[in-house]
Amino acid sequence: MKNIKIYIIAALIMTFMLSASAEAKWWIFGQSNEEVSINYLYINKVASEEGGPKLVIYKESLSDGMITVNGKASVRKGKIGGVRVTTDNKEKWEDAKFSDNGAFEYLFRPETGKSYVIYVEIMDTAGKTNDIESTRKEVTVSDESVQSLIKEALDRMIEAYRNENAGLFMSYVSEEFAGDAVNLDRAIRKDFSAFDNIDIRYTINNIASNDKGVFVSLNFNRTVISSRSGQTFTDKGITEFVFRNGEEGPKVYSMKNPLIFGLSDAAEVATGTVMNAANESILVVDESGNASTMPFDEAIAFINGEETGGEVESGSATLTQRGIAPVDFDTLTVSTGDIQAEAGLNPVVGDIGPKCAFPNPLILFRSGVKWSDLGSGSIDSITEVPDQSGYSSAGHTTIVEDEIYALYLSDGKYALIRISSSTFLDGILCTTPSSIVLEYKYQPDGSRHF
Amino acid sequence: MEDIKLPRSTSLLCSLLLLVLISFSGVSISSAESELHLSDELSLTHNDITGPGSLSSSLTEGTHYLNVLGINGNGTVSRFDYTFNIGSKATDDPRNDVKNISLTNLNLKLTDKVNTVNIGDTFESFSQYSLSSALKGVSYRFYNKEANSPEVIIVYGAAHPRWDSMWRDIDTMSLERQAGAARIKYGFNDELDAGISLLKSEDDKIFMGSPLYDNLIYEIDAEYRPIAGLTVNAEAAINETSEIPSAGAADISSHGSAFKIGAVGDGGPSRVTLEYERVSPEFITLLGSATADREKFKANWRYKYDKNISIKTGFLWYRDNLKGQKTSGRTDHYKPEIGVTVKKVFDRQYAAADIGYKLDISENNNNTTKVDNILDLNYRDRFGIFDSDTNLGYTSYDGKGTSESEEFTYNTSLNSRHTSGRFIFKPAVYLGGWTSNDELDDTSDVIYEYSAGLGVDIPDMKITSNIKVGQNKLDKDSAGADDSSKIFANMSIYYRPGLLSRLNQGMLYLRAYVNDFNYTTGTKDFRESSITTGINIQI
Repeated sequence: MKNIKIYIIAALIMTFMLSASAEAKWWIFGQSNEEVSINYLYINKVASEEGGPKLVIYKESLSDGMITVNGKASVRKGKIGGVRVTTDNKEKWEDAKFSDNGAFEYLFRPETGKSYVIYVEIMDTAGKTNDIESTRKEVTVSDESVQSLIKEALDRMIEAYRNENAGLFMSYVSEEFAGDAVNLDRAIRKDFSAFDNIDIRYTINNIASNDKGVFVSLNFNRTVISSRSGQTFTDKGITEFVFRNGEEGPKVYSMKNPLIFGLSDAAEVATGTVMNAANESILVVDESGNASTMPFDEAIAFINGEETGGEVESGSATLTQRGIAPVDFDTLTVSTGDIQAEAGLNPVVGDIGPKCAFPNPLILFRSGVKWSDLGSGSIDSITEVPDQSGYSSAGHTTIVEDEIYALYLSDGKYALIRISSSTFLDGILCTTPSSIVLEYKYQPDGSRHF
Repeated sequence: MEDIKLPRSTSLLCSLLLLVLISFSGVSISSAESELHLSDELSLTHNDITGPGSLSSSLTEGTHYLNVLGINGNGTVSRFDYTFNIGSKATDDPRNDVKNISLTNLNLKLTDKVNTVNIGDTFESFSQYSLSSALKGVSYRFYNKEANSPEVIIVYGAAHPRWDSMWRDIDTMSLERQAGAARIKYGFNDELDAGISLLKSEDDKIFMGSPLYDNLIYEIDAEYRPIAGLTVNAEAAINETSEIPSAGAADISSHGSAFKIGAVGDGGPSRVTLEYERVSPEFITLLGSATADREKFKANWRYKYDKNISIKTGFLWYRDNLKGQKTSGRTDHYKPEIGVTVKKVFDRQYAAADIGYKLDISENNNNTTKVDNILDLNYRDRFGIFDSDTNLGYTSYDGKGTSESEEFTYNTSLNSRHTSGRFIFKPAVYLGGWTSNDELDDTSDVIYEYSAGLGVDIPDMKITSNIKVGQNKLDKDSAGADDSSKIFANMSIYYRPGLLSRLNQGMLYLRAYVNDFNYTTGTKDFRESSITTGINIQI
């Protein structure tokens, strides 16, 4: 409750501040000081200042087949003498209904497929008028069904996305996008880096509309090539969009998981999830732009950054080198998820293995395994490892007790190891069997969370 | 046999709705003041996929159909105006839909200008925090504009992504979520509107491991227009949520809150928007569209300096972990940006340039900082008979020791248009590329794409057509990763014959494409070709 009080107080303060400085018109830096002005102007409930100079209204959304232009005007001195509206680019002006407080309304019945260039003129009793040019709006009434309009909008978005044209794509997104248009802009740019040869097809499942917007549910199929791994991924799913009416047709207001656009930052872009009945795999992208597919429930957990500690496999192992030549030592294999220590002749057998070397004994990594030194401490204190993009590809490092290493394995999964103890001695080649004891953790779901 | 379990109430609702819709469609045909529209698009597609990697294709082998039907109408019965919509989809391609036949929309709206009833697909978007999803159910709205009455809306229904989910079909089963909501909105005067909403939703049973929620949201919102050009809006909501994380687990109760206030200043050459929002980690909106655990401030300023120069700036800051509940720490994001559009650059009539700079900073108080710089340049111009569009982009990703890379994008297109007799020719050429350099791995990946196309229109025959061929090539530097190449060709022809034109917007079309994928690992290679022919009729 304390928070709510703070919010209400903050709201009131902000409102008063804005109102108090209203005459200064801070948002136009004092440039405007009109004698006659329009407080607000709506065309069929869409604020005139929203979007650009054009507005598309679909016929199905018209109430009684009419377009309503309404708003409120104010004058600095005197009274409002008249309000006129033109719908044909100033060819012909019609009187609008208005009241003493400045509220006005004008209705007209449009023809479908025709464009109307609307201006509103407010005149005070002294003959002064508002800035008429600023009220210009070109309105087109489309006789297409809502479904056709939405299909056109989705087709345009997919075309821009496939062509990796971020600027064009974002022109189809509402400025009020629920997940923040800035986040979506960044996310699709990362998608463009992560994917090549994007192919998306869809069919609409369900559609519902009101005069403000349209709700859409659809099935999609997708194929992409990961520009990181060169792998081809396909997935399919069911997702939902909400569109709002705006300039040049409907614009996206919100999207749900599984996302078609902006997968690279799904946690920020999506507001909600459409559950998948079959738990089919869907495409996800990690922070480094690596694409993979995961079962639906795991993917949603991954997107939400949920810790999956219960699924982490862990344990300890003792690895031994028995002599200096030939190389003969135990290795630890974790990358299959079937953790095991085994005897081997070289590090190819397992992901890691100890080796006597001069001047320092080494821990060897299998080719393809990348690693990062996280310093010393408790392995249980590590709940998340860094992204693999900064890991070393070097095939070995020095054995240091208590040191913790994050591993990025050749199967694209992460593991942690800690060298608990070592009988290897620096500067001396092995003449007697030496060993290290390792603690390890393995995250089979591909995430960096432990 | 499919296991279809239609709840009695749902069955009754749907049957009644269908009956009413059929009745109204009959009325609409017989009444002079009513309208009935039908649109239908039938397409046949044949797909052919060859090669050892054919499983990577998202096409379905063979010949398949897709039919999308829509019927809508409106008219007047007694003192009520009505509109209705019925839509369906039929296909035998499981990639289009797992169901052969399905309803895409079903809706009837009745209004006497004061009372409005909506049955079927019902989309009553109250606010971002409460209800902004469609329901399958019924809504009632009361609003007497002449008397300046409060606007009252009551809605009840199920939140399913498709109608098939209502019959609990095994293939399209979804979460069973019922919701009821009410809203009252009142315009106190011309400057101030305020509304109160209440939303209650209940989940029936655990679905795909998703928790069961019983959620109640109280919400208030207001919009204030104190002076010309200035709009201040605010919204606040609190939730009472009971969550059952898994079968047999005990309820977890939570209470959260969400609040935002914004201002829009619009006048002359300038438009400024400001918004502050705080959504607590416990705030759960299942039918709204808000991100929990978020404190945010954003500002945008759009300024038209003169008829040729406009400037757009923006700033977004947000952070999570508002109550310190995440072990990964709190991340603050700072995202400023500026863009300038200049027309008639270099005094050239058709020249226009956009320059944009964006900065992304993410600071995690536990470990990592990331800084991304994004620079874009777009230049459009006309050189003789060619229209050109060129994009250059540079992005650097700096993970402060954990990652470091940079990307370059570069593409240009040339288009032209020539009229020769009854033909219009539209040749086009595209050249593009993308280079990514990983500074730490010392690897570099490159994508090249080039294509050429020719559009031919014959306006008097109402034919438009296009053909395009090209190649997209990905060259990987890192070991073990496949290079890939796609050679593609596609064509389309759209024809509006006179007979179909008379029926309104009818059209015949033919689309075809071939994609030939080749990889370093030859066993991944495949080729997919697809040809689709269709007819679109609107009456």
